[in-house]
Amino acid sequence: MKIQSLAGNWNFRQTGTQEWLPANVPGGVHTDLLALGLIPDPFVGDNEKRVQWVAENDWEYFRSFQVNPEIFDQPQVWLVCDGLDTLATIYLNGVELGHAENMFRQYRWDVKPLLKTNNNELRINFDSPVRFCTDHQSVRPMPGVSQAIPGGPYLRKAPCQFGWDWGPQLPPMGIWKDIRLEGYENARIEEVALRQDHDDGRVTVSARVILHNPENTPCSAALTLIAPDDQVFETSTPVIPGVGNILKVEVPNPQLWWPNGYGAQPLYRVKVELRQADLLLDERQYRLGLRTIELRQKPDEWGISFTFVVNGVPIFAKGSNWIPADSFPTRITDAHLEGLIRSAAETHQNMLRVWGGGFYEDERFYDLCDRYGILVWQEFIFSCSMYPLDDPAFLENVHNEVIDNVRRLRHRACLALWCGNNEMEWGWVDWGWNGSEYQAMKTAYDQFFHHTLPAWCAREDPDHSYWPSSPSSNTPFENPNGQQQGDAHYWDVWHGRKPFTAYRDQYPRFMSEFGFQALPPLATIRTYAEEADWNMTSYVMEMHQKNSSGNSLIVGQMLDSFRFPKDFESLVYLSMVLQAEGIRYGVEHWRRYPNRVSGTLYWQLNDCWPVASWSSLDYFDRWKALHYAARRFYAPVLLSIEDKPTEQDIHVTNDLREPWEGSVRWSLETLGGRVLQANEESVSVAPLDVSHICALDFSDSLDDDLCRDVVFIAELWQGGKWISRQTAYFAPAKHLNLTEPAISSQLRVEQGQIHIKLTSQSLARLVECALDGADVTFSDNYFDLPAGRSVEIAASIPTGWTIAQVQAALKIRSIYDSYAHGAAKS
Amino acid sequence: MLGFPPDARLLIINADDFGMCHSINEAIIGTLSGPLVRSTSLMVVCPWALHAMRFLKGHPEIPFGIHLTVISDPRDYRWGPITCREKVPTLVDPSGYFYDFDSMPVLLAQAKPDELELEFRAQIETVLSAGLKPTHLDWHALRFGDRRDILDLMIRLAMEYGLALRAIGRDVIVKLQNQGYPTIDYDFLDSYSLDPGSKSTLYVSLLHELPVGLNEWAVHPGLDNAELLVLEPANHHERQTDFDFWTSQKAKEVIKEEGIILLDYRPLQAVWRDMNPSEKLM
Repeated sequence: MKIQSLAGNWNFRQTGTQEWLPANVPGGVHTDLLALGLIPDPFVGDNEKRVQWVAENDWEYFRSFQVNPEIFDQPQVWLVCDGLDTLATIYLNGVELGHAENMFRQYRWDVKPLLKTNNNELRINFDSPVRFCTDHQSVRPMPGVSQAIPGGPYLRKAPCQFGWDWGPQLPPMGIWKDIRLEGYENARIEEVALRQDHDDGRVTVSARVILHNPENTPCSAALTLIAPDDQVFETSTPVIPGVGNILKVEVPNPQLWWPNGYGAQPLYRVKVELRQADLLLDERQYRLGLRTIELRQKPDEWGISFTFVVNGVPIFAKGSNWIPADSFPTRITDAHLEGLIRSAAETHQNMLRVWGGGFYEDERFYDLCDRYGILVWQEFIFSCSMYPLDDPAFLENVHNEVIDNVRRLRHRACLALWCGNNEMEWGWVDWGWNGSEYQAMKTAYDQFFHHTLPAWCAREDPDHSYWPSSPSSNTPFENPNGQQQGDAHYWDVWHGRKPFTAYRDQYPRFMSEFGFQALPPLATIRTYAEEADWNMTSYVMEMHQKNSSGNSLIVGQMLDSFRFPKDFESLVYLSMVLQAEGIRYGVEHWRRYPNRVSGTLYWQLNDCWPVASWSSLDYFDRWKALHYAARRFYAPVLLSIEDKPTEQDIHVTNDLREPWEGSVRWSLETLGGRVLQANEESVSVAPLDVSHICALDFSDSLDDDLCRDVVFIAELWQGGKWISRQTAYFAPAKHLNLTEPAISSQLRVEQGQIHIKLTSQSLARLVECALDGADVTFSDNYFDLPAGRSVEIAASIPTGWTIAQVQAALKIRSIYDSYAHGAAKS
Repeated sequence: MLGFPPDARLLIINADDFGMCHSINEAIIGTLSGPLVRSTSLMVVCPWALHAMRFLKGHPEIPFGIHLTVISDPRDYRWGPITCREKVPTLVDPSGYFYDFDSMPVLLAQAKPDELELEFRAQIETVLSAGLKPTHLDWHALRFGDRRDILDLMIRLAMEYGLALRAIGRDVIVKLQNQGYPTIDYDFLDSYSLDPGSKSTLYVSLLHELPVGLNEWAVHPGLDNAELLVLEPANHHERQTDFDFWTSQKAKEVIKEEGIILLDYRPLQAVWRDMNPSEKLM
C-alpha cells in the first residue's frame, strides 16, 4: 500500500460567500475561524452565544493536489476519510463521490477513474448540523437532553457537542480526522481479527485476515509477533477469499498484561503482512497485551455479581468517567491526552468509562490505555435520549459505525466491555418517556439494544462482554438502577441534594457514575472570567455552569460542611475540597465491601472546556482537590475510617494480589496535639480483601463541647515506615474550634524536585499548597495536617526557578484561612 | 434475526453447480443424502440440468437455489443463454455461448443490464415453470468488479420473486440486514479458494474457527471419473476433495464438537418472501 496525505493546508469558506480562506486539516470551521481572528474565543466569557451562527450555516472545504506518481500508477487508488464531521458531500474533479452522515465512520471511495496527475480538485461541502437536527426534531420531536440543541440524536455526531450539563453548545464541523489517498495493487487487507487463546500458561495468538481482492489475486499473509524481549514468533499462509484464513503463533511463556496496580503492561508488537510472491501488498501493525478478561456475573448472597476478572484475578475497578477532552477535538494534542491518562494512572485508576455521549476515541487514547494499564468500559455513542432506531437508513448507518469501531478496537488489551448506551434504559423506566406516542420507539429500543446490537458485537468480537445500557440490571426495563445486579448510577447526593452520608446507604454491585461538582482552580477561572465577574452567581460564572442551579447546589452543600467563605478565592478552594471530601466518603465506603461492590467510577475525570463541573482534572489538566484525593482513596492498600460519631471503625482494604501485613497506630488528640488516647493494632489482610481492624467507641471520653476540639487520627505503618494517614472528626468542619495553624515550610531541592516539608502548630484541615505563577502538580495536596506532625510533598521545580523563588511563591492555605475571623474582618 | 442466540455459529453448506454434468450431479446427490450439505444451487442452463431438476422434483424436501449463470467455463463443454441469442447479444461470445472465465472482463465491459435481466428472469422462470420451489438466488463464477448493478439486479429479482439471496460485500450485507432482510453475515467461502492438497485440514481448522453469526460455504462436490477428468483436466481434484470431506466422519465430528448449527436458505427465504416489496428502499 502507498499513502499520500491530503491533510495540511486547505481553503474554506461559508457557503454563499466568494472568498476562500486558509484552513488546516484535520480541523474544523470554529478553529479555522479562530485562527484567523474571525470569531472570539468561544471558551471566554459568554462568547459561546456569539458564535452560534457558525454551526447554523453551511461551509465548504477545498484543496487542489497533484498525485504522487507511485500512487497514480497503482491499479487501485482510494480516497480515504477517517472522519468527516458530519453532513458532508464529497466532490473530486467536479464529480460527486458520495455523501457522508456519520462522524464515527471511515469513508472510502475508489477514485482511480477520476484522478489526474495534476490539478485535482477536492471539495467537501458540510451542511449545518444544527439545521439538520432542528428540522428533524420539528417533524418528529423526541425527548432529549435539556441543555442541548434539540434533535441531536437524529445525527450520528457526538451528542455532547450539541451541549450537555457540563459542555457548551458548540457543534464542530469539518474534516476532523486524517484524509489521504491509498494506492494498492489488486489486493489489500480489508480486515484483521486478532484473538488470543490462553490455555494452561500458553497463549495462541491468531489473526483472521480478510482481503479486498476482487480479482482473486493469489496472495499469502504473514503474522509476526515480537515479544517485549524481542523474541520473534512468525507464520505465513496463502489467504482464502471470503472468510479469510487464520494464522496462528503460539507463545509458550507469555508475559501477561495487567491493569494498573495489578502488574506490568508488556505489549507485543504484531505485524500482519499481505504479499503477492515477494511483493508486499499491504500491512497492519498492532500492539497486543496478552490477557484474559471476563465480566463475571455469578449469583451470590446479594444478587448477581458484576466483577471484571483479568487473568483469573477479580479486579476492583477504580476509575472515572471519560468525556471528550476538548469541544474542538482536533486540537487535542498528544501531550494533553497523555497528561490526562497519566494523571489517571498516577492516581491508581485502572478503568475509564468512555461515556456514550462523547465519541469513540482515536488510536492514541487506546494506545495510552494499553500502556498505562487502564481498562476501558467502551460505550456505543447513544446517550440520555430517544434515537430513531426504527428507521432502516439510520440503522444501516449505525451498523456500519459499529462494524468500523468494533473491528478497530476489539484487539485492545485495555478493552473491557462493550456497553450499548448511557442512561437510556433508565430513561424509559424513570424519565417519563413511557407515553403511548413513544411505544414504537420503545419497541425499537428493545430490539436494538437487547437483540440487534449484541448480535453485531458477538459477531465482530466474541471475546468481550456486551452490556445493554449503563445503568442496567440486564433485565430489560426492570429496575435498571438496582443494587442486586448490574451497574448503578447514583445521583441523589448531587441532584437530589442528599448529604454525602447517603453514599453509605448504597451497596451497588458496580458504581459506574456518581459525582459532585466543584469550580476549577482560580487560574482556570481567570481564563474565562474577569475579576469583576468573580462571584458564584455572576452572569459569566453561570455561563460556565451548565447544570441548572449547579452553583446553588455547590454552595448549599458547602455550607453544610464549612463556614461561609470570606472571599471568592476561598469559595473556589472550598468548592474543590468539598467535592474531594464527598467522593472520598463514597469510595472509601464502597471499598470496604469489595466482595459486594466491584468498582467505582466517579463522574468525571476531565473537562472539554473551562467550566464548573464534576471533573477531577480541569480543561487545562490542572488537578483539582478531588484528583489528589483519588490518589489516596484509590491507593492499592487503603486505610479508611468509618466515622459514626462517637464511634470510629478502622478498616484496611487490600487490592494487592498478595497478603498485606503491618499495623495501624491510632490516637484521639486535641486539635492542638495533646494525646487523649492512643494504641497500635496489628493488621493482616488477605489478598483482594478487606479487614475490619477495630471499632472504637469514644462516647465515654467526649462531651458536646469537647467533640469540637478533638480529632481521631489513624496511621498505617509497615516495617517502621509510615504509609498513610486518615483523620476523622466528631463535628462538622464548620463547627471545629480550629486555631491558626501557623504552618511552617522547609524547602530543599533534590534531582530537579522541590521537596517541601510542612509542619503545623495545630491541626490544619485540607491544606492546599500552590506556587503563585506556576502550574505544578504536587505529590500530595489538600490533606489534613495534625499538630506537631510533618508532611513532605514534592513537585518538579518550574523551569528556571530558584529555591528562593519557590519559597517566595509558595502559598499555603487551609480551612482556617477560608473564613473571616471576627466581625471586623468580614 | 432468525431467532438464534447472538453468539450462535450458523453455517449453510451449499453444493454449487448442480446440473453442470453427470459426475457433479452424482456427487451432489451423494452429499445431500448425508447430514452436512443441506442445500444446493441449480445451474439451469447446463446440459445436465434436467437430471438435477428431476431429482429435485422427486425430493421437494431438499432446499435449493438458482445458480444464475452467464459464464461457461470448460473449454469444449459449453452452455449459453436460455433466451434466444438475438435478444442477449452482449452476453454471448462469437460462438454463441456464454463467455468463458478468462473472458469475464469482456463480458463485464459489454453486458447490458436489460439483457442480463432478461436472461436471469428466463432462468428463474424455467425453474418455477417446472413446478420447483427454489429458496434463494446465487451465481456462478461471476466476479462483479465495478458492475455493482449486476448484484443490484439480483437483489431486485430476489425481492420480487420472494427468494433469499447469497449476499456479498459488507455494504450490501449491512444494507439488506438493516432493511430486515436476513443474509449471511460474511462473504461466503468458495471451496475453490482452498488448496486441494490440504483442503481437509483447512476445512477442519476453519470449522474450529467459524465466526459467530451466519456463514455460508459454497462447496463443489464432484467425482473424479472419466467425465470430470476431461471437463476439468487441470483442477478436477477440487471437486473430489469436496465430496470426500463433506461425506466424511471427521466433518460430522468437528461440526458436532464445535456446536455449529447447520442451516439452509429456507428460514431466510421465509422472511424475504413476507417482506412487502413496495416498502423496499434499495
